[in-house]
Amino acid sequence: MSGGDTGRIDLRRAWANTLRAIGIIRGRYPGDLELSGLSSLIQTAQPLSVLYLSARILDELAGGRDVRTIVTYVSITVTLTFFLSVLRSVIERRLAVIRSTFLQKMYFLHSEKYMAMDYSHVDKSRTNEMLADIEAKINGNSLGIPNVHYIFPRLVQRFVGVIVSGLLLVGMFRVEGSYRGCCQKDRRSPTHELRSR
Amino acid sequence: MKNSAAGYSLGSNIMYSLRMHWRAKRSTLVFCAVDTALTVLLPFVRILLPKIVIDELMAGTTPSHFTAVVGGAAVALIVLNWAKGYTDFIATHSVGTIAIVEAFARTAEKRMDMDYEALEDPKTKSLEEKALRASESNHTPAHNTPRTLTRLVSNVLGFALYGTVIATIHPVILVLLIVSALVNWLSLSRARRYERETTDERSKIYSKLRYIQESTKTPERAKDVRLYPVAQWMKGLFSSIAQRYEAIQDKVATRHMVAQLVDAAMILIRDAGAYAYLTYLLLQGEIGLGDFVLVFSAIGAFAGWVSGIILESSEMLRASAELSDIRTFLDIPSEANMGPGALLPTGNMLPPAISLRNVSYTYPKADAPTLRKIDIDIKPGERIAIVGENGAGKTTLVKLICGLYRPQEGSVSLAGIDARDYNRDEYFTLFSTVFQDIHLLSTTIAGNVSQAPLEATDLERVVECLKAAGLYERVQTMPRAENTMLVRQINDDAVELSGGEKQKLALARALYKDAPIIILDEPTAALDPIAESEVYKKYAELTRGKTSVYISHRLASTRFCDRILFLDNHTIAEIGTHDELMSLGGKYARMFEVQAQYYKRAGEVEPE
Repeated sequence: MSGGDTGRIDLRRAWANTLRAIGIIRGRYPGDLELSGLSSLIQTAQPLSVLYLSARILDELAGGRDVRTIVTYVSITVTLTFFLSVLRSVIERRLAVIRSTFLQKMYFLHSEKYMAMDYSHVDKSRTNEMLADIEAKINGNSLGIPNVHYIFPRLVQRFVGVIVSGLLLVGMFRVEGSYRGCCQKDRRSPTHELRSR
Repeated sequence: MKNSAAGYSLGSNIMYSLRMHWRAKRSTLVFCAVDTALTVLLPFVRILLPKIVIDELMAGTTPSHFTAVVGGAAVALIVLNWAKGYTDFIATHSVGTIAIVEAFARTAEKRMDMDYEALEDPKTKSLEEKALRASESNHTPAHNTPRTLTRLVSNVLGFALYGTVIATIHPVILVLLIVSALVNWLSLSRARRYERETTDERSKIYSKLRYIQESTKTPERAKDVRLYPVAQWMKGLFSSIAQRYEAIQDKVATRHMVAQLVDAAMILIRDAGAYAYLTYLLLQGEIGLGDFVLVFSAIGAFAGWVSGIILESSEMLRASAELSDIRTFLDIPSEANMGPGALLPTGNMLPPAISLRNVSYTYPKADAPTLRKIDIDIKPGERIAIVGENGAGKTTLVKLICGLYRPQEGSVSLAGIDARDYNRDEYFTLFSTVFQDIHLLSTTIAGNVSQAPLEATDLERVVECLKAAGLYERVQTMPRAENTMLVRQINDDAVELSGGEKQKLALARALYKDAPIIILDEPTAALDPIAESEVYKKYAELTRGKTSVYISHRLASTRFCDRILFLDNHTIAEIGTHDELMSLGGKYARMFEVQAQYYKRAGEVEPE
């Protein structure tokens, strides 16, 4: 209990505790982390994919203005948005059920430990204080093991967000680079075309 | 908009929540207000920025002008973003925390203050369960009312701002968007209605889950849990109840999923239509590319504002329903007189006479009365013993006398005045009680005797009362004597008292209060024979100058009382002195004989 006693964060211990918490959550709430992660993934990827496709639509509107191409991009955009929304709704339904008993099951985890531990521990004020402290933290601020449950989807969101945004950014410059190459040879910039009209 | 179940309007619930936050921390509501404005401004600047960039590019402005305009907009975006993040963080954390602390404090205060009778009523338990569910965490809708209100107002402002932008293209688009949002509202309200309909059922099941998890980790039950095979049983029970709860929650979630699917379908139609129409306008040269981007973004976001209004309205109703649950519990009325009451007896009116006239009492949800037509006059200073079989109503009778219960029929009067006419809390000051279940406070022995903080405790009187109760010698052997802490679950250096010592401490507590009427409910049940005998010997001294009521199963112990009241078949069957009742040869005499034979020597036991 060095970390807790001194107030310093021992990263190795924190990591081990986090892994243990993940193990507990996966054992107690099968599918929770996986589905939360997937839902966050969709939540992050959906607007970014729409952003990418919208850019393609704008590019076409500013440049070639080929109706068939525009219709194709629009169809892909709205269908993808719809499909991802449906998928997320289905996932959220299952997550809502899991979350409905999440806290009580977490508290019952403490009950199970309490029922199983030696009576000499139960009789100690330190054990009861520790339990009261853990439950007060969960109750007030959702800290402790539930915090992993709450943070994991946010972590996925940030992680995926950074990667996909990075890919879009790199892709933008690559497109611009290849565009320049082709523009100098056989066609003008879509913006130029629009401005020249 | 009234909450029919509880009678609290939406407006009153919002004001209740805002007032609570205002009292606790005013800056929280200021941050909420700033957050409202930023919630509208920030996304608008975001959709405006691409239009500015495209328009500047299309206009072919100089690089310096382009940099100044776009850079200025970008800086504004950064500042707004930072401000939004900050206000959001402060408001979010402050709101939930304030509300949960307030709710816990008020609920606990209510439990300590409400009529004892109401506290035991199953209906109160149900109301309390709903209130607890609504205050369970700082994420509940009830606790986040100011945040929901912030979002609702932001959505209304966003609706107005974006609606204006869209209306410049074609007002019909606005109408179509509102219609699609209304379809969403209908499907969502269906889901919400089902959720509300199942609240009671879910509350009941949830209270069972809570009961099991709470009751299995109390030190008091720890011994039983270990010595009897309870753990596996509890695990199985918890699991099956959790499954039942999840089955209902599954139906609620399915309805919400349907609502989300309808929303997704509406978005599909909206986006496809918007793309088609705006592309047409662009190709016709009626709008520029910058306008295309701005209006398309506005259409997408507009639906968000409309959905936001619907969602947050729905969330506000949900919060209001939960606030009603909390307030219904907090506002459980006191049936007792909490205002000015009759003057308490003083001087030669003490100790007061007690009269019960035709008193009947039935517990809530019980089929038959526990007490029927009780008539008795207790004279000032009289010592009354109440005896009878288990369940005869002995404890109920003393609870009626000391004002914890109010009779449904008949009346209890004290010094000639109906007990209901006294102020409830003033009336309680007339009684010193020792009940069978003794709960110690996590404080010193002295504090447990005085039931007051150390600075308000008369230590000399504490010592006198401990001596009178026969606990003084034992206390002196403890490390810090009267200042020794009790309840080991809270204090490491605390001392655990045995059952008998707890009873002595409760007796000392009753003596310290020094009320004119003393009620002892089985005060010697956990004492050893010698300690019990000491109490009997001292009884006259302990109750001198007081009216006393003594409940006991041990009939021998009632002989030192002036009169014995024998309860049978829920009413007074026999009344008189011990000798009178023995001569009567009734049930009391038979019970006395049955008990007495075990105290006689073997040779003296008479065969039946």
